[in-house]
Amino acid sequence: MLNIKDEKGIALVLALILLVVLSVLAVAMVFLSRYETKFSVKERLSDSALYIADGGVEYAINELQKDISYRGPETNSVGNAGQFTVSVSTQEQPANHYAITSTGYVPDATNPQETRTVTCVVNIVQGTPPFAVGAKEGITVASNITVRGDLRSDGQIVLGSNVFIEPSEPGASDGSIYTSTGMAKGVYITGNLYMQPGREIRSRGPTNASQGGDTPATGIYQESKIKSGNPLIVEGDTSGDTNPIGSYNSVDLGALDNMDKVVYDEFKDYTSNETFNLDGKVHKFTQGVRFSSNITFEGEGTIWVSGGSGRNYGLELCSNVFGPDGGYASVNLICSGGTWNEADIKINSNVKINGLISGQTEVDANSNVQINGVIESGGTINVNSNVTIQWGEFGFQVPMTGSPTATIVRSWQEL
Amino acid sequence: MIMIKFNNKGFTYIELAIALAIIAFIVLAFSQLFLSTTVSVKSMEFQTLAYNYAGDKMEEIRNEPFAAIGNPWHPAIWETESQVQSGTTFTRNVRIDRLEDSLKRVDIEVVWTEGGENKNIEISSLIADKW
Repeated sequence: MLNIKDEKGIALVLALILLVVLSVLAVAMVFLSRYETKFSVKERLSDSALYIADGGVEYAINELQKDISYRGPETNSVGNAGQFTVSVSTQEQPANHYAITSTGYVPDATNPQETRTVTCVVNIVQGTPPFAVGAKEGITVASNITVRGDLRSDGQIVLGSNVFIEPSEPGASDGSIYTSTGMAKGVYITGNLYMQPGREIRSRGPTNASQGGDTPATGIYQESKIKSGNPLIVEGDTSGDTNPIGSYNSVDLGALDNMDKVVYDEFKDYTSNETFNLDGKVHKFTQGVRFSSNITFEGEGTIWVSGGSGRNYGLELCSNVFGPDGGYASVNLICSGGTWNEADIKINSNVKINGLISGQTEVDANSNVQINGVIESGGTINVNSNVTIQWGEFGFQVPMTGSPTATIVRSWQEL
Repeated sequence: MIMIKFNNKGFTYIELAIALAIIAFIVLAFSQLFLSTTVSVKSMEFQTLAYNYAGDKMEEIRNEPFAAIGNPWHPAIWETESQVQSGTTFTRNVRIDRLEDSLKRVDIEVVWTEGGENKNIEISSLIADKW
């Protein structure tokens, strides 16, 4: 029979159990501590990867500032510390906004120990073109025209009567005329021209009287019709910076296409007395568009004709096209393609627009047109009577190619 | 009545020796573990201090205007500073390399001595001249 009252030896058992428990605890503490130190190393390396990822973002900003079409992806080393892979996207971003995604690797991208990814949205604001009216092949303006800003063309500039070229705002230094044509009568002044003091008219026309000039220097024809401002006349100009724009079509079409847009795959004809809601979007017409009389544009946005043929105009605005309450419509008019009988863009009478008007081959503006922004053309621009063109910022941003004027970091976060 | 017979014999010397040996072995193993952990914890503390010291500088440089970063004509060590933390001297070397007119690389190295051994860590990043 077992004597259950015998408790001798229990102390030993208890002591052993206690010893085992304490040992386990001690070992656990040690391992916890080791794990923590390991984790700490990992965290430090990870911090290092984050600095490298940030470096990748900075790298992309620098590349974008040099060339706005930079998209990556690219892998580069940052000293000996690690590598980054960076790419840029404009998908679903507003105009001139670029989403940069950069991943930092330590020690390198092929066998990374640590990886961190950041994404950053930067707004690289492209400069509004430095002219109010700019055309590659020529500008013709008729009578009673006011241009506040510069006129620039690679071709002939013909000025009608009562043409006022003024600075874009009081105190601004623009309000000059530049052409880089090689033909005679680079700037042909047919009627009274009024300019402000201290401005200039420069032409690269040949200094050859046999080509029809009024003086041996034929670049500027009929300077006698300049009624005010006494501008500096330079014919046979050889300076390199009077016409810095190689191509006048300054819209970044690829980026424009990536913006929030509505696509119309057939020719659209908006009848009279309609309201068109721009809705902060790009409206892409692949076959052309016509807006009849009495159209009101609401909101802001861009009308873009990318192609089409068989009609007189790719993008036509008939009379009485305004914004709400008869004010300026905040709209950019862009025609980048198509084959049109008369012109890419036709703006008829009584129109007020705040934005960029950009055509591939020809832009025509008829009477009583007021434009707050820029008109540019890859070909010619013809402006009829009572037209005012005031150089200024566009109401709705357009992605532009050219030199950036500001880089604003909109967001910077880790993925 | 049943009497339980107790064994009143003590431990033999052999048993004692074996037990001691086992205990000694265990203690030794543990102490080794403890010791190495202590060393690595200390070393990790130094590394953390070093990384923080480097990171502080990186943040400082990032907030400076681009033109003020580095010595434009000398792409070598731009700045050297020292700081004593936890009884150890940490020396921070900042190197700025101008990769392009508008892009600079910042390397920040922190060196210190630990148990007679030279240690160092380095972090690097790029900084662009934003318009």
